[in-house]
Amino acid sequence: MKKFYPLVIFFGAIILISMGLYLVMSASSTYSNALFSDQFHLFSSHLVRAGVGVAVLIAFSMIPYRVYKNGSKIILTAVVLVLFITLIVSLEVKGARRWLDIGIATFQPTEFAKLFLFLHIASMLADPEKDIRDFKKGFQQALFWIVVTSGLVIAQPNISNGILLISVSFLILFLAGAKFKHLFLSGAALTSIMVLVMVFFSHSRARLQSYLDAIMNDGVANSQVAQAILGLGSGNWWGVGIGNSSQRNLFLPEAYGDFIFAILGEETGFIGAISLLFIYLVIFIVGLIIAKNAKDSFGVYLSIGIICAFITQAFVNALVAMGAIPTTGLTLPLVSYGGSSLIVFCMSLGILINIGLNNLKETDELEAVQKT
Amino acid sequence: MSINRFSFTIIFFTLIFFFLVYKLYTIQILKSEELTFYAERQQTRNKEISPVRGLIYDRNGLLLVYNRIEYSFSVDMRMARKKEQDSISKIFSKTFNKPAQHYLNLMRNSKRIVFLERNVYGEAVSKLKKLSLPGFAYEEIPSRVYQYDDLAGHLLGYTNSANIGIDGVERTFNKELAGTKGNRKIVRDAIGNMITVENNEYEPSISGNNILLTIQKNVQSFLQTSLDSGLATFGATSATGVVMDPNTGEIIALANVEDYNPNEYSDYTNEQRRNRSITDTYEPGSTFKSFAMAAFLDNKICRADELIYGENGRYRFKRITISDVHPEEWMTVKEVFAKSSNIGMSKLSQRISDEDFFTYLRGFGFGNATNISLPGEVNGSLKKPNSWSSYTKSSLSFGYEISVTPIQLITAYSSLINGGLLFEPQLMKKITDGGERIVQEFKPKNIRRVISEETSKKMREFLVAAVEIGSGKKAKINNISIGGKTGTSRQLIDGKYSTEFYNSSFVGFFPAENPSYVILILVNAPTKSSIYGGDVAAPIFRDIAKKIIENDPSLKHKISDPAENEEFIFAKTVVDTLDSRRINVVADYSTDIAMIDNNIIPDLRGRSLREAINVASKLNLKYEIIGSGRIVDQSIAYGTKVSPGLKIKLYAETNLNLGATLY
Repeated sequence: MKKFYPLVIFFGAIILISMGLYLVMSASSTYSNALFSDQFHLFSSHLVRAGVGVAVLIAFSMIPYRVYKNGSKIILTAVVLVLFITLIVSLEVKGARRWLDIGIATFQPTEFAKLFLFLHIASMLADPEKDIRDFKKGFQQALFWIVVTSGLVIAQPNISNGILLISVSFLILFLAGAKFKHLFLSGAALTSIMVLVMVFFSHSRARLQSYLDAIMNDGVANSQVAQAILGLGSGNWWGVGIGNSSQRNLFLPEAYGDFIFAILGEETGFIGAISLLFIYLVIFIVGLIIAKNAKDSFGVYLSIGIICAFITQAFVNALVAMGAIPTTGLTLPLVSYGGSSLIVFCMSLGILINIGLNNLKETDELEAVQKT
Repeated sequence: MSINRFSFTIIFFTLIFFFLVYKLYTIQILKSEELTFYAERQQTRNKEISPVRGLIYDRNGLLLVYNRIEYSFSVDMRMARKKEQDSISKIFSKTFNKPAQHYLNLMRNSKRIVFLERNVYGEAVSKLKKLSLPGFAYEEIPSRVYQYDDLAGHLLGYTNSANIGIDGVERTFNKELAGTKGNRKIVRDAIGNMITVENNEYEPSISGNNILLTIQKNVQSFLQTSLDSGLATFGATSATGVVMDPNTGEIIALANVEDYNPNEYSDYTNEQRRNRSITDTYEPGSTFKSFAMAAFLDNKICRADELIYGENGRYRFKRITISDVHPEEWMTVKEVFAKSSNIGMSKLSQRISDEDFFTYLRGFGFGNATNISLPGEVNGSLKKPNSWSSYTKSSLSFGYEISVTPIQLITAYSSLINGGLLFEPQLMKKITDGGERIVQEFKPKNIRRVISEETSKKMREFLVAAVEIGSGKKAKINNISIGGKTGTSRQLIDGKYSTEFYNSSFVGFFPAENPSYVILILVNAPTKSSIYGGDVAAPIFRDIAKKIIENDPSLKHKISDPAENEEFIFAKTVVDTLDSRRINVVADYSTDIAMIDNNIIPDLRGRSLREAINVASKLNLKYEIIGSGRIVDQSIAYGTKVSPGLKIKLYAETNLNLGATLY
């Protein structure tokens, strides 16, 4: 049974990437045609990224995950530096500085921060000299990195990814056995800071405000969400048919990006939409089983971090498309158009597969080394 | 790792999963119908497919009106960037030979949608629709083309920008011409561009039916040319002409000048676009004597050869004086008509009963619209006997106290000369579908018999005489017998008879023995050279009639041998038809005119108003008439040499007058 888990993750990822290819092709066709007079314009670049993503997935599944353990602090420090640089020199897109141009491509350092923060937290939790149950001996250091990383992300401003970083980090700490008192108090402190920050940044304040207004008035938060709901609602049981979306015809802005779930719901209906969510749930549960079976605590916490980030982002994205929570900028993992997000999730799942593969070994190398 | 915390996490995310499923179910299944409705409403548009409008032909199948697709090109400035603006202006500049800057300025001065060209067409233009640039759009506008511009404009009418018939046949038969709209459903994007057409919801349009009119393009063209030159020659305000087949009521041509070009209908005033032949009434004057005379003859209150005393041109009837242009002593009834004696007509009118007279006039269709298939026809007015005064019958006998439209008059004339049957004037020959199938064929519509065949025959003879010995001489054409009657009536302006403006008319027909054409010419307010129907309308008639004869091969054998002296033949006809008593054929006012030479003004005192005006016209003098009846004084003494353009005041008797001093 155990040996199927890495395969489930691998094929789950491949299915999601394939669905992403189909959905990006359909959802971006009108936009590409209108803007570039080539309906495959965005699809072509997504196809290249998906190819790179699969390669990354395979490559990372073959790299022994323990190599990250000792270098995690250095990598995260580098990521934090990059985030800092991004804040100063990045391209401004839609009022936020999230993109970094490294000459050959632009990428979003935030996506990388998500993986490497959880990697370092896992590393810290696995450190026998630290104890997460003790504030000074373990919790404090973890909290430091969480605050620094998410703080820089929030400052871009990218509130939703910042919240995601904090939430998933806390989830890992919670699973690692951190004390409720510590979790609760620091959580409350961070929450109040966040509220202040959100009030400070007009961008997120407006989003929150419109969401609250909508709840009060039994409506939807904004026209993008309204269009997403129209797309979902047109789907009914079986959808309007693959490639037949009408909402993609510029009615739903960025249909190929953060709102790609609505196009899926329109074209493949309720059946298609819950199938996709079910695949995420399956990957999540299998991922947790891999975590549970991991042969060392680094593997356990790293798996938890990866799989919690994955499922949280998937469900949050779906909730946004249904208008159930305020609009965020989170992609649908492995499906949405967008290179950085796709590559990082491929890395993450590659690592998870490697952990799963390691579980299959009769004797753990590390344990063998430690025993000697 | 704590198992509790682990299980909690699984349960937590599984619960979120079920919440998502529940939420999706409410949106995608429970609210699906409502949401689908809103989604489809924004995603699709029903687009009408304009049907092809029916074509209009003349009676010989000559195409008069067809269709053309015109284009309007626009640019949405919210979408067109600098680069596109430049390339659009370059291409347009090339196609329309206007400077590129012109188009750039148009675009720069607009923030939203700006039209670069409207209603343009042609091969080069239709290529522009292939331009695919952001913000550039075109609209196809089905438009009407009236091949011959102003030819038969008042009959054809025009369509508005939505291609709906607004006037003329286009309006009356709009339903037949319009066809049925088709429909297609298109899927569009948020900025309005078409994505696809939904084939399963496609309804094709059905083309309109074609119409074959009774008019003949050539005759219509002759009529308009002759009316135009007549209008210029006589300095009139407007003129109307109608050519009809008296045996069927078919309208061969109908025109009002000035006319208008339906291709550019908006450049003309309502006045110019009005079809005066059916919308304007006038008091016909002497042309109406035909109907009175037909009533007298048909009612057998007189004989053609019966002698009537002409009172030497002045007749005191009750409290008014009726005068004739050509004083006569004894005339036959036929001479009364041919010489257009008001006195004679007035005397005869006293013999017929009010009811009989009214019945005849009603029978000819006066006071009722003719039901011609054109919009805007009026009824005219014919008073009922119970509101007649003791003068009414007398007035009616020479064409006053009644108002008619030209179409009523020519329709009545048809019945007068065709053997006595009144036909509805007809403009439609047939309606066919796009192919050969006849949808509707129009047959001559006989309404009633008005007079006996015998009376009709007599009237033809009387009308020939009116041309031969009466005022219609200028209508004569060599080698073909013409019948007809002139009319010159005062215009009723603000309830008073004008002394300045007249309606000069002539109704004639040929060949007189078996007429195939009847023509009405009405000239409104001629101001140059003459005001008389015989001088103004009759020559216009002659002009048109000659061209029609030359154009109609069926008339050739009816024309007498040109080698013979045609005057003799006509004279012989006149002698045959007239009473054996010799009459002076040359009793014409033109003899009076002969004595005015060298621009010397003659003594007009004692002359009729009509004669005086005639003299003034011949001398190209402006005139003002004070009073009515015989001239009693003149502002310029006789024997004075005058130059054209001078104004002469003519003082006339001031007696109660119904405008009857003119015939």
